[in-house]
Amino acid sequence: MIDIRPARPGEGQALYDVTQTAVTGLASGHYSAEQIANWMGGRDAAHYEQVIARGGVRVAVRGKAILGFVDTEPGVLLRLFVRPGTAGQGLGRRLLALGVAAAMQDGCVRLEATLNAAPFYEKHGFVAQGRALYQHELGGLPVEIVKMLYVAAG
Amino acid sequence: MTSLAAFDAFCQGLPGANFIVQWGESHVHKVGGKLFAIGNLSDDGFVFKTTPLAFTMLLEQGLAERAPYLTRGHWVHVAPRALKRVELFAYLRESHCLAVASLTRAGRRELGLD
Repeated sequence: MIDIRPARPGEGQALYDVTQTAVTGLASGHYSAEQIANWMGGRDAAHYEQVIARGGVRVAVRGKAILGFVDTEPGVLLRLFVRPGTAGQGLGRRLLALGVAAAMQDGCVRLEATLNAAPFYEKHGFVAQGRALYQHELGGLPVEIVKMLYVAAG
Repeated sequence: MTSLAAFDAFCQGLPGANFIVQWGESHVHKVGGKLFAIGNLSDDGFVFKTTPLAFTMLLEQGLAERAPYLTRGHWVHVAPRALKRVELFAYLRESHCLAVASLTRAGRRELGLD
C-alpha cells in the first residue's frame, strides 16, 4: 500500500536518489549521455535537505521506501520524480493530482517539464506554452524543457 | 483519520469561507455562496470538488467514489480513512480554489480574493 506524507528532515539522500535514478532511467533518449551524466551538477543530499525544509515536499512511500515525491510552491509544481521501477502503478498520477491541488493558485498551476515527461503532463491536462533552456543554479549542463500550464475550469 | 472537527477547522481557515449546518447533520462549507466541501456528523466521510485529473485518479485508484447527489462536475466522496490528512487538505484547498475561480470578479473582490 502506498502512503503519502510530508517529507521529513534526514530524507534528502532519498530524494537525491529518486531524482538521480529517475533521470538516468527515464530521460535517456531525450537528452545526451553527457547531459544525463552531469544532470545533478553540484546537487547533493544537503541540497535536498534545504528543499525539504521549505515545506512543500510530499513523498510517496511503501513501507520505509520512498518511491517518489512532489514539491510545490504557490502556483508552481517544482519537482515530481518517481523511481523508474514504479511505472504503471499510478504513482505519478497520484503525485501529480496532489501537486496540482497543493500548488493551485487562481485556478492555475505552472511547471517546467523535461522532454520525456511533457507527454505525461499533456495527457493530464497541461498545455505546452513553449520550450526553453534550463540550467540548475548548482550546475549541470543546460537542458531543454517545456513550459506548461494547467488551467482548472471554475 | 481526519475528524470532522479537524475538517471543519481547516475549511474555515480558508479565505472567505463560511459554514452552516444543513440538510440535517451536514457541515456545509461555502465561499461567496459557492459550495466547496461537506462533512457529516455521522462521520461517513467528506465531499469536495476536484479537477478532472484528480477525479479520475481518485476513482480509479479506489480512494474515492462519485459524490451522491452532486453528479454534475467532478465531486467526490472520500471515506474518513481513505486519505491521509496531507492529501485530504490539499484537495479541500483545491476545491476552495475552484469555487473562488467560479465567482464573478465582483464576488471575489467583495471577499478580498481578487
